[in-house]
Formats: sequence, structure tokens, C-alpha cells
Amino acid sequence: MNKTLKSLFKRKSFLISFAILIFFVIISATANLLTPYTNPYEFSQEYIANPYSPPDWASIFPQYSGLPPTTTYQFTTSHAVVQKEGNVSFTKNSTYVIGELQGKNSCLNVSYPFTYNSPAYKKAPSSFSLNFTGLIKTSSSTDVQVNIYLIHGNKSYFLESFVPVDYSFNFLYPTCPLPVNSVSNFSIESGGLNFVNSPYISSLSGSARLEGGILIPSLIFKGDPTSYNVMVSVKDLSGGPVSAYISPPKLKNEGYLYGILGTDFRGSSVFSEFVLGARFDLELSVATSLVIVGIGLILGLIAGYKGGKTDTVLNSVTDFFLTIPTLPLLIVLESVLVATNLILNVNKAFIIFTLIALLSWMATMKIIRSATFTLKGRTFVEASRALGGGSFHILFKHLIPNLLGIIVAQIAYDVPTVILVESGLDFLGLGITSFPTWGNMLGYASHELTASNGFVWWWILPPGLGIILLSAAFYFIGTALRDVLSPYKTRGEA
Amino acid sequence: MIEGKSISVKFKVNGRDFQALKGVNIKVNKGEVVGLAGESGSGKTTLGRAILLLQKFQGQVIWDGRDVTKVKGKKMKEFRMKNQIVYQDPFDAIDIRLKIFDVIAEGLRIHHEGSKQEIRDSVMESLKLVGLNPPEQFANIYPTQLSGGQLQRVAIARTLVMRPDFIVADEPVSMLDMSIRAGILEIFNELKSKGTSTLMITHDLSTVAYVSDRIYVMYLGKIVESGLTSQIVENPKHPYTQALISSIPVPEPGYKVEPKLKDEDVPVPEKGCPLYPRCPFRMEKCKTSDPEMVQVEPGHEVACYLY
Amino acid sequence: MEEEISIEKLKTYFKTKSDYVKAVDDLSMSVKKGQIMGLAGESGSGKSTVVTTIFRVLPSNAEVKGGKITFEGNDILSMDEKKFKKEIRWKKISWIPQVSMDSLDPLYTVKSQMMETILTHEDVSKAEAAERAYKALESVKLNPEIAEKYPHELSGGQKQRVIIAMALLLNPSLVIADEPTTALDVVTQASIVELLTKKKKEMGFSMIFVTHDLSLLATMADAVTVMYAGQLAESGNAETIFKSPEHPYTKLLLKSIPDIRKWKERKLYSIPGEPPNLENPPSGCRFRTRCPFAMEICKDKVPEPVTLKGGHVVACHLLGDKK
Ligand SMILES: Nc1ncnc2c1ncn2[C@@H]1O[C@H](COP(=O)(O)OP(=O)(O)OP(=O)(O)O)[C@@H](O)[C@H]1O
Ligand SMILES: Nc1ncnc2c1ncn2[C@@H]1O[C@H](COP(=O)(O)OP(=O)(O)OP(=O)(O)O)[C@@H](O)[C@H]1O
Ligand code: SF4
Ligand code: SF4
Ligand SMILES: [Mg+2]
Ligand SMILES: [Mg+2]
Repeated sequence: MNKTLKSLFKRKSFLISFAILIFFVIISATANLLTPYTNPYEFSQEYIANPYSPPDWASIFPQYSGLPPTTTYQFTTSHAVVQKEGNVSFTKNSTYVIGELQGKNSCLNVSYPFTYNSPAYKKAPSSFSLNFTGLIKTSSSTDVQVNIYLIHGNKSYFLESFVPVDYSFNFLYPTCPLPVNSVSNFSIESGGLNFVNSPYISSLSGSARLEGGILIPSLIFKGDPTSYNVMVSVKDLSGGPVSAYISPPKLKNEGYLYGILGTDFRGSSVFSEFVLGARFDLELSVATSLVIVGIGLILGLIAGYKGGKTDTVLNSVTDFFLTIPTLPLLIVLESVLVATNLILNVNKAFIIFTLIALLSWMATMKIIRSATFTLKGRTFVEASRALGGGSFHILFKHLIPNLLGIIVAQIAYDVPTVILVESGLDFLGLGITSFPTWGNMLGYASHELTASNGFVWWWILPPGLGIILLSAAFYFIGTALRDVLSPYKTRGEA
Repeated sequence: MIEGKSISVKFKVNGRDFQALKGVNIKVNKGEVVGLAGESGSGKTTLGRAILLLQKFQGQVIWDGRDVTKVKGKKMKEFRMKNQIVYQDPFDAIDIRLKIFDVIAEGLRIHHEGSKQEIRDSVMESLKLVGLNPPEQFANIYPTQLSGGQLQRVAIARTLVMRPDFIVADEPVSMLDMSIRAGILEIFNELKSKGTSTLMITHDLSTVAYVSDRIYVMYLGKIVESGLTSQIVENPKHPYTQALISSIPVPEPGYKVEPKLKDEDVPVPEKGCPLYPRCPFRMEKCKTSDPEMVQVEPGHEVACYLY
Repeated sequence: MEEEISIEKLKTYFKTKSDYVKAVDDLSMSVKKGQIMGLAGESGSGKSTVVTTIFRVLPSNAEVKGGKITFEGNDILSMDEKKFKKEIRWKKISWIPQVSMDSLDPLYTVKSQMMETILTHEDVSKAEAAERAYKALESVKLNPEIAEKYPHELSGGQKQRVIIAMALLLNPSLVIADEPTTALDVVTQASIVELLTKKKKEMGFSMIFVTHDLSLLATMADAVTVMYAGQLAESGNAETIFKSPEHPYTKLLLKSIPDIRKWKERKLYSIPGEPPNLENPPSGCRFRTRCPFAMEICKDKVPEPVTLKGGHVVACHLLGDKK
């Protein structure tokens, strides 16, 4: 074995291919650590940045320089600057700023300063979001408001106002209910703001009032100065005692650059699609190719070893399968099965896996068959029979070990075939669409590609190169293994 | 001991039937070394394989008085254990994936003969027997590391380890140099003294004459003469045997081999004596009918109308 | 007598992973015009390597590390490949390779392969080429019907005759036959040998006949060169080699040849031991590991070839004082 490994690692093509394979295996195995997303095509994992955002590092190229990146601000209570109006007392702990309000119109303003280099960027962020948790303790007759502001220089933008739910009479902003006496999440998405729920937008006029949520990042994040504040203000409207627990907010400005590989048309992370796609493609193609070679090996061995009628029958069956135009049939079967929902509860990946395996084993069968045929004619096989060895003995002691090189090579050769076929199906939108694979990444990319968004290279190249590199790596690894493991081809070298 | 009765073998060659053996009778007694000589392609290997039931044939094989032509299962295993073959080409006859130890132990393992230690001992012993010393060193290397002569000895060791009653040795020395042939032939001589019988196939009578008790001569799928070694070597009857003996080169300068047969390039006759086209003594009758084996002296039979 | 070809201190090595196989090491020999030189030696002693070096068809891992091969006054080894191909290979020197039974192309008929040979070397019409092919087949006593057959339809003896016919097609002055009869039975062997010697007489070429069967050389060779482990052991005319050999290896080799006339003795001799590994041959005389006469000096010094009377060359320290 040692010698085998040595001669393998002597080959440059093997070494390079092996390194490529190891790279993909590692990113597949650690996919869960590399990306927080589990399925970037799920609605909740979209729009993590502006769609078609190039990668962060692309800003070194002139055409992407000056684009705002995605920036996230995570404050702690120690950053909090508290101001009070009226009869208010407050304390801080590590999670909350806690205020006790007493008296009509008393007010607790908790603000967090941050800087955003708005003058340096060509554009405002595409959107922003703000999240924090809070707990408002009060009696039901007390009227409280939680108001959220962004403050830039001397301008203050009143984004949204929350009021208690059970405070039932028609209030100014009825769409922002505020639960009382329980911890709740406050969350603002710039895109979700409009003239109904946002005092600032309702204060605008004309078309700006209507566009509201889309426009708001560019209204706020522009020009000097670079210092901003986000402010949460709790206001006691009726004068009853109110205890307010306000956590520091998390602010995220979604820019036009994102992560290692940018975003696709949904604003999903291309990097996580790539990594998850690699894992999926590797798993599916290796599993499928094992099954393909398994079928091919069994049929090829039987046909080649038994010969005669058995061989004739198996060989004609194989020939029949070979005359079937595989890809078109695959497409038809796949779309029929899926469109008619014939198989309801079966994973689509499993259907594809089965179909590809069932339609691709023929070449392997032929190769194994003819190799078995040649081997069977070798005298050492007859010698084993002459010693009294039965068919099983000959198969397992002589034929399979001598076929090992071919078998391993076939497995390696079939992996790229499966990747290509599967990617082809996905590309055509017939395969897997609900989960990122390299094939459907390319498929979506080519589908969504228009003149205006240009060449989305960060979206197209990773899966494209991935398919090419992985296929080539498997090809070279297969060839190297075949040469090293097939003793009779290399006879005389030793 | 072992006997083949009217063995015929047909091969399909390019869709046409080719009769490689035509009703051959052959017998090897206990403790005998029998030579089987003949033209290349006359069917010697095929005959050896047929009587070991390694080749489909018509006819009968009798082993120790039992008809084993159609044996199966346990009986077959017993037959395989006791009857062995050494092939013509050692390079092809040994699986180069296996270590020499495993090559030789294969038969014992198939038949579950003995414990691990016993198998080990037998393998080492047979390595010593064929002169591969020290056995421990040879046992642990791969066939690619051996020369043709050493490999042929491994092939012989593989059959010896089974303690066979009968061995078909298909040109066991033709791959070997003169300088090491004698060592191999000596092994067969020793086996003979232990009661093992051998059918030694060859196209070179000069070596086989040194070890054989009797000799069969084949021509185009038929036995044309059989007899004791002395009868065949000193008193060959059949024109083909005569040619075979007189064509053997002798290590003496100026020795002229006188070809006794006409030049060979003529189609194989469909009927009549197979040697007819080349026979210097042919008669009209030889053209149409095929001579049967007749006895010319005790133990000496020949198929030729001259006798 | 004039020399057809002479080889001086030829060194042909094969490169392997770890080292060089010194397949031919400092070998000198020559062939006289019109003679058959038998090149003998056991398997692996470098016989085929010598002749493939002459014919310049060495495998790619072979390296000629030194020496000269003079043919018609020119050094073949330093000749330009184009010139060698145009003027010498097949035209002046022809070759019957060791694996010759497989050297016919299975896809073409005998006739078309023969015509191909003629047409690539000579400027003649197709009809003339075909005519010559038929004549050549006839001259090796083959039925002209064979011309239309494919190699697999021929018997071993027929194939070998076809190959001889092809080797003689262009009237070479030196024919190299590498074990042309080893796979054949003695009857066929005898007829092939007879054919070759007859053709030699008719056409007057010289021949190098490679074999490991010394007794075969006894019947046909004019001179014999015995090689051991890539080096010359002994060479001389056939009479001398068989009747009064000097080298211990030749003596033992002759003793180990089975002689059908002595079958009754039932005693065969062999030379103990195995041929040496040519990647790492023994120091001094390469035969010393098996030689019954080995002395201290055999370990330290390579025996230089010594020429005795009648052109008898022996490389052995035992001859040291006989000079
Ligand atoms: N499997 C086969 N299929 C077709 N023809 C075969 C097969 N095996 C042998 N033959 C043919 O049968 C004939 C006899 O072959 P066999 O090998 O028995 O000859 P042999 O006497 O052993 O020859 P050799 O001395 O060359 O080994 C030959 O003509 C050969 O071509
Ligand atoms: N291509 C090669 N690479 C490495 N070693 C080689 C190669 N060809 C031959 N040899 C080695 O060179 C030595 C001489 O080989 P060569 O074929 O000349 O021997 P030979 O005398 O013709 O033997 P034989 O009688 O078996 O044909 C042998 O030890 C052989 O193993
Ligand atoms: S039977 Fe006739 S042809 Fe045949 S060998 Fe005898 S004499 Fe010759
Ligand atoms: S040189 Fe020495 S070892 Fe070599 S053959 Fe002569 S005596 Fe023997
Ligand atoms: Mg044979
Ligand atoms: Mg050779």
C-alpha cells in the first residue's frame, strides 16, 4: 500500500487534483460553520444584502469602489447615553437600560452613537434594520409610547412608534402594537416603513411620501457629519407608573457589497450557496456514482464471468439501455414524475439520484465486462480453478482485486458525469430548484442575467469553476488510481 | 491412475468449428512420468487441460477406476486437490497481486487443509523443495520481483504443496535456460520416486527423454505413436516421430539435421492420415482413410499404415 | 576475411526508477562477411539489447553509454536517424524481432504488409511490388494462397516464414534473427533453420542468429559469441567453441545441454545459482558467483578479453598466463 501511495503522490496531476478535492471536501464538511444559512433560497434567508451585491473585496476594482458595504452595529448598554424628561429614574445592567417613569409626559431617551461614513460612499445603504428587545411594565389604564428615532446632526428622524396592544382606542399609529408586561422584540425594517406607521414618512410630501420605505435610507444616510445616533424613547402619556426595560439595539445597514462572494438576485449569500451546493453536489454525485458502478460492476462481472447466454442477455439489455438517449429521457421522466406529483413524499434529490443511476450504468458495465473477459482468459484464473477454487473464490480473490483499479477509476470518472448531468437538469430548472446546487445557481444566474446588471461574475464563476475543477480533479484522480492499481498495465516498470 | 478415453475437443474459431482433439486415448499410471510431445498447435495443452476437466470435451476421464467426467461438488473438490497442473507461461499463470506465500497457499486455503501454522510449514517446505532458498525471504515478495525461472519454480511449488497424485506439467522448462532446466526436471524425478505421476508436455523430446518412462507423440489433434522412452527415442516408427527425433539439434559442430518431412505448407487434410501431405512414405490408402493405433511391439503402438 | 559489422566496447544501459540496468557492458564482437554468427547466452544476458542497438530500435529508457558499431565503414551509432532510416534500416540490415510471431499487423493481409515494405523503401509500381511479394513467399516455400490471408489464420511456422520473407525482401547484407524458432517445435525449427541457411547461401548475406539454444547453433553457425550478464564470455568459430571451450561458463553451459543421444544416462547438469541482477552486478567477473573456479582476483578485477589463436576470444582470469 505504501508503494501505491508513493507512486500516486509522485504524479503532479494527482497531487493537484487531490488538493482540489480536499479543498471541496473540507468546505463541504464545515459548511455549517462557514455559513449561518441553511438554505439561502428560503424566504427568511433572502435579502441579507442588496441583490447583485458584489463581494466586499471587489471594492478594490474601480467600478465597485465607493459602494457602501453591509455594516452591522451591535451596541451594549455601556454605550447608552440616557436623557430624561420629567420624573424619571434609571439604572443599567448588562442587558437593559431600566427606567422608572412617573408623571404625565415624562420621557426616557436612550441613545446610542455610531458613525457611518456616508460622505465616502457613492450611495446610501440599500436598506437598514433595527432590532431590540424590551419589556414595558404598566397597568392597563396607563398609556405608553415607545418611539424610535435616528438622529443625524441636528436632524432627527422619527421612524416608528409602538403602543400597548390592549390599549384599544383608536390611536395615532395603530399598526405598531406594543405588548405589555412581557418581553417582546421590536423590529424595524426600512422597507417596511410607510406613511401609515412612520411619523417621519407621513411628514414628507408628494411622491416621497408614497415611496417612503425605499427612499428612507438615502434620506437619512447622506452627507456630513459621519456621526449618528439611534434613539429609543419611552414616553408615559397618562402619568401612571411605568417600568421600561430597553435592550441596546442592533442596527444593520445593508450595503451594495457583501461577504466573500456577494449576493445573487434574491440578495442571498452566494458564498453560502456555493458551500452548500458543493456539499450537495459532492454527496449526490459520489453516492450516485457508487450506485452506478455498483450496478455496472455486478452486471459486468456476471456477464463477463459467466459468458454464453447470460452474457448475451445482459449485454443486449445493456445495449438497449445504451440506445436510449439518456439526457432527453431523464428530462422527460423527471418532469413527468415531478409535474404529475406521482411521487409525492419523495425528496426530489432522491428522484434525480435514482434516475441518473438507472440511466448511467451501461458504460461501466461494458468496461467491467470486457475487463472481466480478458482477466478470465488469463491463465492464473484457470490456475485457481485447477486448484479447486469455486466461482466466489475466483471472483473475490482474483477478479475483483485485479479490477480494483478500473472500479475505483470508474467511480472517480462517474462523479463528474453525475455532477454535469445533475447540474444540467438543475440548470434547465428541471432538477432541484428549492435548494442551492451549483447547477441551479448557474441556471438562476443565466435566467436572471440581463444587460443592466451586467456580468454577475461573483455569482456565475464560483459554481462554474467549481464544476470544472471538481470534474477535472476526479478525472485525474481516477486515471492515476487506475494506473497505480492495475498491476498488469504497469508490468515491467518494477 | 488417470486415463482419457476418446477425448475430442472442438473450438469455435471465427465462427467455424475447429477440431483440436480427435478421439485421443491417453493413460498415465501411478508413479509414471509420461511425455507428451508434438508439433506446436497439435493440441498438447488442450489434452492436458481436458483430462484435468478444465476444458469442455467429449469422451471420458477415468480416475482411479472411477468415471469422473461429470463429477460435481465434493467429488470434484477431491479431484482438484489430487490432480494439479503447471502452466506453460509462469508470467501469465500467477496473479501478481498476491505475495508468493499467498500464491502457494491458495490451494490449501481453498480446501481448508490444516491450521495456519500447518499451511505456513507446508508452503515453506515446498519453497525449499523447488530450491527457492531461503524460503522466508521468497515467501514475502511479489511475483514481479522474480525472474522467469524463479517464477516457474513458484508455479511448481504451488502444485506440490497440494501433495498431488498426478501433475500435468505443460512445458515446465521451455521458458527456462538450459543452465537451470536440470534443477526443475530433477524435482519431477524426485516426485516420481514418491509415487506422483506426471504428464510432461513438451515440444522438445531431448529434455523429456531424460525423465520420462513413456512418451506419446501427437500430430494435428491425434496421438500417432506411443511407447516406452527407449522405444520412441531409439526405434521411432511413425514418420512424424522419426522426423521429431532426427530434427533434435545435437551440440556438436557440423551436425546436420536432415529434415525428414516435406515442407509443411499445405492445407490440413479433411480425411485420411493427417501427415499425408508431408509424409515421405505416403501411400494411396493413406489419402482416404485414417490409420488406427496398432501394436508393433509390447507397449509400443503406432498409427500408420506402414505397420 | 572481411568484416560485415564490428562492435567495439558497446555499453547499452536501461534507466530504471532507481538505477541503470547494465544490459550490455563493454561488449566487443564482429561478424565476418557471409558468416552466421550465433549469439548465445541465457535469458536476460543482453542478447536482444545488442541487436536492437544495432538496428537502432531501443526502447525509450535505453541509453547507449559508449562504444562504436562499424558497418560499411560508418559508425551506426553516430549516424543521423534520417540517414540510417533511408539507407540502412531494412535495406542493408534487416531484423527478425524476438516477438516476431506477433510482429505482423493483425489488420492487414500478408500481401499488403509485404507490399507496404517494398513501396516505402523502393520506387516501384504496385504491380511490381505485388509480383515481388509473391516471389518472396514462394522462395520461402509458402503457398502463394497465403498472400491473401490474415496473420491469425496462419500457423506459427507459416508466420515465421512470412516474417523471414519480409526480412529478405530488400536484399539486405546483414540479417539479424532474434530467437526465430524458440516458440516452435523441433521439426518446424529445423525447416526454418534450413530455410535461413539456404537463403544465406543464395543471397550471400551475413547473419546474427540470437538464441539461448547452443545445440541449435552447433548445426548452423560459423562462429559463436557467448554472453554472460551483459558481457562477452567467449567467442570464436563454432568448432573451437564446441570442441575446446576455455571459459568456465561456456564449458558448464555445454555440459547442461541435453543430448538426445545420451538420454539413457538420465543425468542433466545445471549451473548452480541464478543469473545476477544487472542493476547491481557482482564486482570483477560477473560469473564469479556461480563459477566453480572463482579466485580472489575474480572479485577484484574484471577479466579483459584475451585473444588466443584463430580469433578465439576469452574473458577469464584463468587465461591470464596463456596469452
Ligand atoms: N480457447 C481456444 N479457442 C480456439 N482455439 C484454440 C483455443 N485453445 C487452443 N486452440 C487451438 O487449438 C489448437 C491446439 O492448441 P494447444 O494449445 O493445445 O496446442 P499445443 O500443442 O499446446 O501447442 P504449443 O506447443 O504451441 O503450446 C491450436 O491450433 C490452437 O490454436
Ligand atoms: N526496457 C527495459 N527496461 C529495463 N530493463 C530492461 C529493458 N529491456 C530489457 N531490460 C533488461 O536488460 C537485460 C537484458 O535484456 P535482453 O532482452 O537483452 O536479454 P536477452 O538476452 O535477449 O534475453 P532473452 O533470452 O530472455 O530474450 C535484462 O536483464 C532485462 O531485464
Ligand atoms: S499412414 Fe501413410 S501418410 Fe500417414 S504416416 Fe503412415 S505412411 Fe505416412
Ligand atoms: S574470471 Fe574467475 S570467476 Fe570469472 S569465469 Fe574466470 S575463473 Fe570464473
Ligand atoms: Mg501448449
Ligand atoms: Mg532476447
